[in-house]
Amino acid sequence: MRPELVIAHEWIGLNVEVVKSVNPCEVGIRGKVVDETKNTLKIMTEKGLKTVIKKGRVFRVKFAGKLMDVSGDLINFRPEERIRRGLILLKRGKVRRW
Amino acid sequence: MRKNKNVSEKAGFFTLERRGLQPTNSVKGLPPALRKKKRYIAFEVISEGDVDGNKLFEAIKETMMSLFGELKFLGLELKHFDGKRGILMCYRESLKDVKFGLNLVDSVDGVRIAIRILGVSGTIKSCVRKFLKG
Amino acid sequence: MKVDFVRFKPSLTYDYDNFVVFDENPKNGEFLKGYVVKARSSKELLQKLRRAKMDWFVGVVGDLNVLKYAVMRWRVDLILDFEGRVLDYSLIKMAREKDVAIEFSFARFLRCRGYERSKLFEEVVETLKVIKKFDTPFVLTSGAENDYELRPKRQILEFFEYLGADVERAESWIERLVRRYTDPNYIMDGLEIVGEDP
Repeated sequence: MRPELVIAHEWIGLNVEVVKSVNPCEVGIRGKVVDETKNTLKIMTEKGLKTVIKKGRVFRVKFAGKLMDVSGDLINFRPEERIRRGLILLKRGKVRRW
Repeated sequence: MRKNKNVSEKAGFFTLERRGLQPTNSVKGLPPALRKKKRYIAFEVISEGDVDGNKLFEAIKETMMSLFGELKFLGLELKHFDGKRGILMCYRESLKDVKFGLNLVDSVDGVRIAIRILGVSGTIKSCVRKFLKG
Repeated sequence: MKVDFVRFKPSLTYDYDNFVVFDENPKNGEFLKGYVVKARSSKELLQKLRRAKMDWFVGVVGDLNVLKYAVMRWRVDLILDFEGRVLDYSLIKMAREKDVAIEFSFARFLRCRGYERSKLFEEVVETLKVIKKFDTPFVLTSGAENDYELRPKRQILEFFEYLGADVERAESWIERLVRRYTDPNYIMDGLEIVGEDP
């Protein structure tokens, strides 16, 4: 699978780490995504369930055999809407295609 | 009341010399705080062959005059020029204007040139040491 | 990343890391390739865009109607600076939405004198104001056609800073544009590959 499709893909079950955030306490949270709403990701860490807002954060995610940094603004949709909205982003935006 | 009296008595002692001021016809000129601050711009001329310093300065003056006119005091002086590299003096206040104008100097006497700014310094000595050595 | 957009193969490199050489028929060389699309009508534009290879920067030259049409095309990267370019308010707004950069070249100031140059200064200052309002992508380049129109990067940035351009913003736009064609790890804004999954 092409790595850029991460923004049109289901996130529940992916391994995620917060790399950049306006809230310094959030940096370093890592674990598995167990639930997702329009504006937040719920991450199961070793210490318990953490809720992280997507907007303005950068997530490091393992996907399609690659380690990627994804800006939270790109995935700021409801999970069921993501496939449609994500594909539109990839189609309309200026994206590398090779 | 008493304080005021003292001050008025003392005031008589403060002559020009005692306050460190020089009479107007002194050879020393302006006190350092009132002197114009200067900057020295080291530059390099890129062209085929060497360029004549006087003609280069003419071209620079012409460009500056057409850009800023007569009422903007730039304090331009060509301090040193050896055919390739040189030092141009200007006032500190007008440094940005001079750097802007130097970009637009594109020909001397019909020969195309480009001026590359190597750096800016506060004295000629450090200008030479930093940018023109080697 | 210090990159400049020029119209010839430079022999002086100053402090630049790389150049993008714009030409109507891009040739192989040590520099990055740019493709100038000169079009008089939208039909001609489409025809010429079809020739564009994947690793070419695409810049457009044409009148206002052509530019308005060109901004809509996905393949177009930037609107080049050329003699007699006209930009209007709605075009700049559209460029922001469609993510097309607007080029400002230094060499144009060298090709005119006196009153014409003064007009050009005014035009650039006014355009930069509109660009600041919409936060449109813009790049500050030398746009040189020979070695004497080339200047070091710092000088060009200082030149446009004097005219009121936001230099740091311009730097980030040009870096983004160049990364799109040179960095295999860059996919889009906010999405890049950092490494392999162990």
